[in-house]
Amino acid sequence: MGSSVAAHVGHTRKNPLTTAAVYASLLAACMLLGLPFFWMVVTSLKSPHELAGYPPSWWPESLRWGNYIDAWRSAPFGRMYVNSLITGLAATALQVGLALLMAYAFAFIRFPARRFWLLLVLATMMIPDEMKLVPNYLTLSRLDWINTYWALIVPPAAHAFPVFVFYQQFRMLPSALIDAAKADGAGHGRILWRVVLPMSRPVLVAVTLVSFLGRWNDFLWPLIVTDTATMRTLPVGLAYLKKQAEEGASPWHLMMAAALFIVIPIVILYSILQKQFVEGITKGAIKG
Amino acid sequence: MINRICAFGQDVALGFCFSFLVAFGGCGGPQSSLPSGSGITYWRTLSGAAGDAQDTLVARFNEQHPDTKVTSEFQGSYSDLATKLLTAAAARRGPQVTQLGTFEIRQFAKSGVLVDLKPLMNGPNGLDTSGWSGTLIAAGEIDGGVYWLPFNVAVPVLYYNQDAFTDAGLSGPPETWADFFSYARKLTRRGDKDAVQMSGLALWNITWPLLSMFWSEGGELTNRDYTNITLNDPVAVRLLTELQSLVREGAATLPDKASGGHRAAFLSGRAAMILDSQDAFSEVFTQATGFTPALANYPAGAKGKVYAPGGGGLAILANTTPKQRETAWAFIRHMISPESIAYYARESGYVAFTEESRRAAGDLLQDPRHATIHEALPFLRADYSVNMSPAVRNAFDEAFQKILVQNADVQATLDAADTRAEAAVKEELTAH
Amino acid sequence: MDAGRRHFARAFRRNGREWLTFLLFAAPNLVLFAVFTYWPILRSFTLSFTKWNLLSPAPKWAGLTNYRALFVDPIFWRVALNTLIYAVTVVTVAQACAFLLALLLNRPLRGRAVFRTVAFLPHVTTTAVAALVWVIVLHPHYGPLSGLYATLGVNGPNWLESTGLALLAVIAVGIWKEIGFASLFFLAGLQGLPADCYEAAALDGARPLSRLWHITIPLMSPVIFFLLVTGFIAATKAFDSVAIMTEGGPVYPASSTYVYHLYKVGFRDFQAGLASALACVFFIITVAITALQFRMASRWVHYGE
Repeated sequence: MGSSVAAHVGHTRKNPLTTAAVYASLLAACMLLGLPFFWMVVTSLKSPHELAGYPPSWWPESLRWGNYIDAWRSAPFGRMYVNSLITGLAATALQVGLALLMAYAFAFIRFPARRFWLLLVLATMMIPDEMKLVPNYLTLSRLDWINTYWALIVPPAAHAFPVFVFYQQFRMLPSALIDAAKADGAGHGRILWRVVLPMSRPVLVAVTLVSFLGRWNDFLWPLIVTDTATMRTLPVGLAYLKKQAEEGASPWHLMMAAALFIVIPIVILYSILQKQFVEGITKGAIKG
Repeated sequence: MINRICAFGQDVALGFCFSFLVAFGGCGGPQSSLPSGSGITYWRTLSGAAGDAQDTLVARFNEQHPDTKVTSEFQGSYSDLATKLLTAAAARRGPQVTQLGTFEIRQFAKSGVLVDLKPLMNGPNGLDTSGWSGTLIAAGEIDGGVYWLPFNVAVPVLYYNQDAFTDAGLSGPPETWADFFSYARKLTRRGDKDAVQMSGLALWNITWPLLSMFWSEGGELTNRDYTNITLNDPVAVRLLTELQSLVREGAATLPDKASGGHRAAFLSGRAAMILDSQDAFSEVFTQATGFTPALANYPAGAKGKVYAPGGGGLAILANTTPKQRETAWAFIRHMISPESIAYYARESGYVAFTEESRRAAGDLLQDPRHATIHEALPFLRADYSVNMSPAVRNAFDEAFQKILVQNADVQATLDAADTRAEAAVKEELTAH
Repeated sequence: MDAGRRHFARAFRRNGREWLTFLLFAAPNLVLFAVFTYWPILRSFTLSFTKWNLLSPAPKWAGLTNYRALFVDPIFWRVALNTLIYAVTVVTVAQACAFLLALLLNRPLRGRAVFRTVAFLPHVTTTAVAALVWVIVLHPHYGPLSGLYATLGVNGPNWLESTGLALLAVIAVGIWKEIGFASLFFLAGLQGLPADCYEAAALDGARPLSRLWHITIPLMSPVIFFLLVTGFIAATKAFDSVAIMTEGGPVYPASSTYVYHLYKVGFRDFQAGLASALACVFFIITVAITALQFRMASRWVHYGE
C-alpha cells in the first residue's frame, strides 16, 4: 500500500529521462549532504604529518586505525558510553511518558481554561536552555543532585516539544473513535493505552527518537552538572580533545575519530528505527 | 457504572505509575561521594600530556599523604572551567583547589571566591618566591593579597622556517620588531597571478602575542588598577598599523579562531614565521613537512625584551574548611615544588619557571632549543594584563579583529575601543 | 462573587471527576515544569532588575538599568538581526530543500533506503560534532575546498575569519542539519496522504504540478506548519554551532546569535543581571512571533475533519 500511495503522490508516468533526472538530483543532494561525513572519516584516518600537508589529500596515504585507539584513550570513553546510554534512555522514557499523559489530557479531558494551560506549557519551548542554567543548577545543588544521574535525567524530562507533537497528532485522530470507546465505558487510561497509542505509534517512535537524540547530543548541561569523569557523557568527552585546538594545537584526526564515537551508535540506531518510522506511518496512523 | 469506576481506577493506576517514574527518575546512579575529613577536590583544565602529567602529580601527592586524598577532575577548557566555577560559586559549592587561567583571577578574587594565600605563604610552611622568574607572582596580586600562584607557565616563542630564511638571504631570526616586520615581507613568496604561496607570517588569532610586542616597544594598554585605559596608545596604533599593512599585502595571514590554523600554515610551509608559545614545540618539531623548523625568543623593542606570560595557575576557593585548607596548601606546595615543576616541564612542555626547578630539570635544558625557550623567563612581566578584565579584553579583541579582518582605520578603531573599555571598566569596578 | 463560587461548585459537581483525571494525567509533568522551567523563568525575571556577577553573595537592585542598557546597545540590535536572518534563512531554505527531497524520496526508487539514510544523517549528528566537522570542511587548509583552490591557484576565502561569511557558515550548518529533520517529517506526511484524493484528481486529468499545488501542499499544510513553528523556535535558539565555529566573531557580533550573546554576557562577561534581561526580552519576542504564526496559520493550514 505504501508504494501505491507514493506512486500517486509523485509523478506517475515512467519516463526514463525523468527517472534519470531524479536519480541524478538525489545523488547530487546526497553527495552534498554526505561530504562532511566523508571528510570526517578521511580526516580521522590521516597521520598528523599528512594532516599538516597542503593541499589536503582526498584519501589517506595509509589508513591509521591507531588514531581511534589514541582518541579512545584521550578520555574515559567507555564509561561515557555507559553514562550516555543510561541517562539518555531514562530521560527519554520519562520525557515521552510524561508528555503522552499531558498531551492526552489536553486533547481529550475536560478542564477549566484548558487552552490557557496548554499555551503556558507550549510557551516554555521558547526558553533557551542557557537561560535556565544557573537557577536549575542552584535547585539541583539544594537537592544534592549535582554530579548524579538524577541531574542528567530529571530536569531535561519536562520538555514541551513532545507534548506539542503528541497534542498535534491526537487532534488529528478521528474523534468518532474516541467517542465510541467512551460509549463502551472505557476510562481515559484505557482509551490512551488501547485506542490512542496504537494509532499514534509512528509519532511515538519519532518523538522517542528525537528525545533520545536531544539527550545523547546535549553538551552544556552535562558539562555543568557533572564534576567527575565517572558521571560524564560522550559530548563532554569530545571537549577533552577540542580543548587542545583552543590552545593552538590541532589534533583534528583525533577529534574526528572521537566525533565518530558519538555519531556511529546514533546512526546505527537511526537506520534501524527509520524504517519502522516510515512503515508505521504508511500503516495508517494519520489515515486511521 | 461499575465499568466507569473500573475505568477511573485504571486512570489512577496509570497516573501513579508515572508519578512513581517521576519520583524515582527511571533509574538511580551512584551518588556523588562527599569529601571526608580533609580530602579535597582539584578542578583542572588541559587535556593530553599536559592533563595526564597533572594527574600523575596528584597521584604522587596522594602516595606521600596517605592520611588525605586529592581527587583531580578535568573540567574542560579554561573557559568551560570558569563557567563551571561561576555556577558552582553561585551555589556555594565546587572544588577546594582549582586551576585558573589569568583571565578570571581578578573577577574571582574581587568577589571573595578565592582565598588570600599571603598568610599561608608567610606562615610556618611558607613559600619562598625569590627564585621565580620575572614578575610572575604579580599576576595573582590583587588589593594587597595573593590569590593565585603560577603553575603551568607559558612563554612566547617565535618559530621560523630555517630554509625559507636561507632562501631569502636571512642569516638568523629577527632581533628587533622592526626586523621582524621587514623579514615578514622578505619571506613572502608569490606565484603567478600574484597568489601568495608562502606568507612571511601567520598570526595566531588571539591578542596574547601582541602584548609582548606592545610592551617591549614601550606601549601600555592599561595601568595596574584599571583606572587608566589606553587601548589607543600610540605604540599600539603604530604596531597594529604595521600588522594591518602586512595582512593587506599578503605578507601575513590571519587564520580563524576555531582551528588553530596558524600552526597548520607554518607546518605545511605556507607561512615562514609564527608567534606562538612553547606549547607548539612538539608539534612543530615532529610534524613540520619538507623544511627545517627552528625557534627563537620574540624580538626586542625600544624597551628591550618584555614578555607576557601565558598559561595558568592554582587558587584555593573560599568554601574550604580550615582542615581542607591545610591539605589544599600542602597540595599547592607539592604542585609547584621544584621536582613537580621540573617533571611537568618535561612532560607537558610548560616551562620550569623557578631556579630550583630548572636545576631539577637538568638534562632538559641541555637541549639548546629548550634552553632558548627558558631564556625568555627573566623578561616575563605579569604585573598586569588586559586579559584580567573581561571588558578590556572584549574591547581590545574586537578592535584587533576589526583592524585585521575588516581593514578598519586603526586610530579610530582603537579610540572607540578605548572609550568602550573605559565605560565598561567603570561599570565593573562599581559591581564589587 | 458568591454566584461565581456557586457556579464553580456546580461545575465541579458535574465535571469534578474529569478534572481530577486531568490533573492526574498532567500533574507529574506540571511539577517538573514548575521546578525546572517556570521557577528559572521567574528567577531570571527578578534577576533582570539587578546587577550580579554570580560570584558576589547577593544581587544588587538596579531597577530598569539593564533594560535601558540593552536597548541602546548596538550589539544587541545586531545580534537580534543576526538571529532573525539565521532563523528565517535556515527555516525557509531547509524546508524548501527538504520538501523537494521528500518528494523525490517518496518515489519507488532503487536504493531509496540509502538515499534516505544519507539525507537524514546530518540531523542525528550532534550539533557540536557537526560544527566541528564544518570547521574543517570550510577550512582554508584542512578542508576539501582548499584542494580545489590550490588547483585553481587562488587563495580561497577564509570563511570563519571573514565578517561577511562567518554568519553564512553558521547558517550552512543549520540548513545542513535541518534538511534531514524536515524531510523526515515531510516524507512521513506524504506517505500518509489519502490515495483517493489523487485518484479523483487523476480522473479529472490534473497535471502533476497542479496536483502538487492544489492537493499535496494543502494536505501537507499541518506538517508544514508544524515544521515552520518548531523549526523557527529551534533556530532562534542556535547556540552550539556559534560557540564552536566562531564564538560570534571574527569581529564580535558578526556571527553571534541572540542566545550565544546571552551566554557570553552571563558567563564570559560576568553580568548575570544583564543576561537575565536579555533572556526575558528573548522570551517575549519569541512568544509574540509564535502567536503570530498561529494566528496566520488559520488562513492556510487545513487540519481536515
